[in-house]
Amino acid sequence: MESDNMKEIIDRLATSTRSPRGKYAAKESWKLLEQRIHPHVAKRRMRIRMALSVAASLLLLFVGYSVARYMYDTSVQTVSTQAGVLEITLPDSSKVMLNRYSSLSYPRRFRKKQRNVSLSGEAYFEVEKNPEYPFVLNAGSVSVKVLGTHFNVESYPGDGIVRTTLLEGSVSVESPSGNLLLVPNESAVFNNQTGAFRRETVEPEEEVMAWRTGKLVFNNLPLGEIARRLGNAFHVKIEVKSEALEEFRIRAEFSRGESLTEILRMLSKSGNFYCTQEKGVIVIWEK
Amino acid sequence: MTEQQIRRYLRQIGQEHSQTALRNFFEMCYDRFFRIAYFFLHREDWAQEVVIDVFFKVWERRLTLSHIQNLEDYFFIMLKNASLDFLSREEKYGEGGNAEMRSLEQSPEEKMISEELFSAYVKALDRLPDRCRAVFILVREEKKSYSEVAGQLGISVKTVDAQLQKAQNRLKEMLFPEND
Repeated sequence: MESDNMKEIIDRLATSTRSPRGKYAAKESWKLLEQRIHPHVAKRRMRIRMALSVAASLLLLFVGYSVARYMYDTSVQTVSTQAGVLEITLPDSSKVMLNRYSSLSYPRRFRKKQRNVSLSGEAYFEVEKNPEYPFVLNAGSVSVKVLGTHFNVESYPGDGIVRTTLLEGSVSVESPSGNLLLVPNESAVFNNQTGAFRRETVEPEEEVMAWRTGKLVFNNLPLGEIARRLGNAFHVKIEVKSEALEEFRIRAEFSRGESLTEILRMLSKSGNFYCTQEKGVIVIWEK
Repeated sequence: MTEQQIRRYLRQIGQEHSQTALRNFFEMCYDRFFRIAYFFLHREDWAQEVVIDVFFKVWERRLTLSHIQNLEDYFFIMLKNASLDFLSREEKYGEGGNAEMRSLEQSPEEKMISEELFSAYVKALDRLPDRCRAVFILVREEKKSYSEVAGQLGISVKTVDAQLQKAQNRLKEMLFPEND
């Protein structure tokens, strides 16, 4: 064979293939092989194990966080009513019936041996007995301490009074003017303007608590008191422009189907008065 | 590659499951294996895939490697089969574009090169001294100029020429021994 011929064949051989270079070079390919053989399995297992432990850690963190949140969550929630009555169960299983246009604030979880709630408006409480965890209700300037009892508190912002009525058990009502320990069927009435704090013997239970059943029961009440209750129930301001009318007593019962206009019209038949409305305020005038 | 060296590595891989030995074996044979695969596949990415696959099979079959008679021929056949398998799979399930298929058609010159001759060439190339082989590949395979190769390898143009001549002479000797 001639030398030139051999050279040509060698040249052809040289171009018949290609040597690995760049990303196809041995160094890069070794990495790929390594991923496929034994270390790869180990790595993957480790990766899975790592993923598992990461997941477990995350889960633990989450659980821890949730528990901590649950344990230490003292964030307060507020439930408000408009033209309706609402029953609320507190975190300690105490039951609260919230009257119209009222709001109740309580923590999502009671802690530190305290059960603190605050009320604006009117609510009836059935507090779970738990001597170690006193239940304290803040209602404006008055706070009621109870150990498990049934009581009703009226504390509408516009009223000027806070009335706590005990139906069962015992409560201690604290006000800036002193404390009153109530027995069933007694009310503690605090006057926000004068600071007067007095005890009253209350009407029969059904009348006080009638609102819970959706009824308005006025059992021989003075018109002034009726106006106050209607105002709260319908979230309007009702003024009585006569001292004589304020003391005028009426007996009536409404079952909530009636509108305020209807109620006032019916009431005005039994009394000698008429109503006007000015800028959202209902005024009761003597005829 | 020296047969003896490779046998030692294979024994270490088989008996000690030594990954260092696998690594040494890989570094010693990768380029040659790649050239063989490329000869059949004409695509760098495919060649790489096939070669890695072959090394993986070596690792998997490491317990039976000591029975191999002729290592160079064994691996050549192994790579050829792996490449042809790859091609038939690629034909069936591959992207199937004509661009890929075209690369399988050999140019007229390539047809003149028998598998036997190519196998001898790969063996011969492997027996060249490293520097000598590098120069030969850069000049003859990659078609680089002497000055480019000189710059890349950090040697003089004169040395490039000398190494190239040496490579060609050695290859001639090995490929066409009857001419001596």
